[in-house]
Amino acid sequence: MKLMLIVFLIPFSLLAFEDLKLQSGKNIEPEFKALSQNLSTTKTLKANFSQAKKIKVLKRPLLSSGELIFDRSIGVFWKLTKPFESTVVIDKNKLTSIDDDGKKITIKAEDKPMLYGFTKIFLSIFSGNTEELKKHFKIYYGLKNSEWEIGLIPKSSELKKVLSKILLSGKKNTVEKIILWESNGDITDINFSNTKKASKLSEADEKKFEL
Amino acid sequence: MRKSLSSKSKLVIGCLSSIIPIALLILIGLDVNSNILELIPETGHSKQSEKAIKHFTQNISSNSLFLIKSKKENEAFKAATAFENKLKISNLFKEIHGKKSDSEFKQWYELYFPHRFHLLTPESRALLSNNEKEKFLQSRVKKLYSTQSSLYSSNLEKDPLMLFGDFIQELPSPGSFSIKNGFIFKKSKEHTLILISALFKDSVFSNSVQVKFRSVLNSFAQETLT
Repeated sequence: MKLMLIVFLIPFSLLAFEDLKLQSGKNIEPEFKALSQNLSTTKTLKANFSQAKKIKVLKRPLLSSGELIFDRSIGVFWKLTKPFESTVVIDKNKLTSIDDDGKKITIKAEDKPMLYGFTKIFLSIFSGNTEELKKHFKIYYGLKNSEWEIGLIPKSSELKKVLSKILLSGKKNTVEKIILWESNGDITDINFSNTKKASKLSEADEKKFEL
Repeated sequence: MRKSLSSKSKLVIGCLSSIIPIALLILIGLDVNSNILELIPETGHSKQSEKAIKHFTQNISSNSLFLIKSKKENEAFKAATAFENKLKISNLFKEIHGKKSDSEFKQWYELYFPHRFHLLTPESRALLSNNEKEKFLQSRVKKLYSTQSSLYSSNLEKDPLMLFGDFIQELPSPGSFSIKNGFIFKKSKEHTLILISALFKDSVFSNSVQVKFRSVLNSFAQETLT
C-alpha cells in the first residue's frame, strides 16, 4: 500500500510544474499579465468546494466539502458542511473560527503574526493579488489546452518550513483548483464548483461574515 | 628632643597607616557598594528588604535587554547580527540570546514534548474529567479538518491525540513580537525592532564591567555609523 501511494504521489508532484515558466522581471508573459489583471478585478465570488487532504501518516485522505464566499473588501468565508459544520472567516485583521458546538476562536493578526501571515497569503490567492504574492513566492505560469496553471514556490525560509509549493489552476478568469504541498508531506487538493462572480454580495451573504 | 621626634614619627606613622589602605584601594579599584540599605543604620531597614534587594542585584540585574531599531528592516537584521557578534567577542556575557538556531527550537521542543500528556488544555481536562471520551475524540478529529491542521498533522504518529499542538496554541501570546530570520522582532509602520537579551558574567554595578561595556557600545556605534 505504501509503495502504491509513493508511486502515485511522485509523478503527480513532478508533473505539476513541468510546463510552467518563471514569471519575473522582463520574463513576464503577456497572458499571465492579463490573467492576473482579470483575477484582480473579481469583487465577490461564491463557490462550493470539495477538499481531499492527504495526511502523510494516514492511509486514507480526509474528505470534506462546503461553501466559499470571497469579498474583496471584507475577506474570505469558508464553511465546512461535511463531515461536520465549522466556519472560518478571514478578514484583514483577524481569523475567526466557530465549530458546530458554537465554540468561537479569534486569532488577531497582531497576536499571532506568523499564523496570520499564512492566512494573508490565502487572501492574496483568492483576490489574485500577484504583487503581494511576489513578495513571498517565485511565480510560475503555464497554459495547457485553455487551462492555465500558476505555480508558487516560497522564497523565505520561514514559509519553506511550512509549504513546499502551491499550484492554482483554472479556466478563463476562474480558479478551479488549488493544490498545496506542505513541507511535512501533507497534500491538500481543493476543487471549486458552481463558481459565481458578482459586483456585490447579497445582504444575507454579507451577514455570514459576522460570526 | 627625643620626645618631640618620637611624637612626629608617631604622627607620620599614623598618617601613613590611614593613607596606605586608601592608596591600595585606589590601586586595586574601588568596589562601590550598590546596596543603599547597607549604608543606613541597622535599625533603619528590614532584613527582609535587604535580602530581596540582594537577590535582585545578584540575579535580575545581570539580565539585559537590547532593542535594535531601524527604519529599514534589512538594516535592522544586519545591525542585530553585528551587535550579537560584538557581544559574543566582548567576553562580558555568560549567555546571549539573539538569533535562534533551529537546534535551539528543537531543544525547546524536546524539553516540552515528553510532558505533553500533562499539558492538557482546560477544555480537554474538562472533557476527560467528565468521562466525555467520544466528545474528546471528536474534537481531535475536527482539528485535522481545520484550516490549522498542519500544526497537528506533523506529529500525528508520536502524538495521536494532538495534545502538544493544543499546548502550543494555548501558550500566552508573545504580544506583537514574532520570529523572523531567527530573531525576535516587531514591525511597526515606521520601524523594525529586534530584541536581543544577554546575561552578564559579573555584576553590572561593577565599575570595570561598565567601562568595558561602554567601550563595546562605542566601538559598535563607530563601526555601524561609518
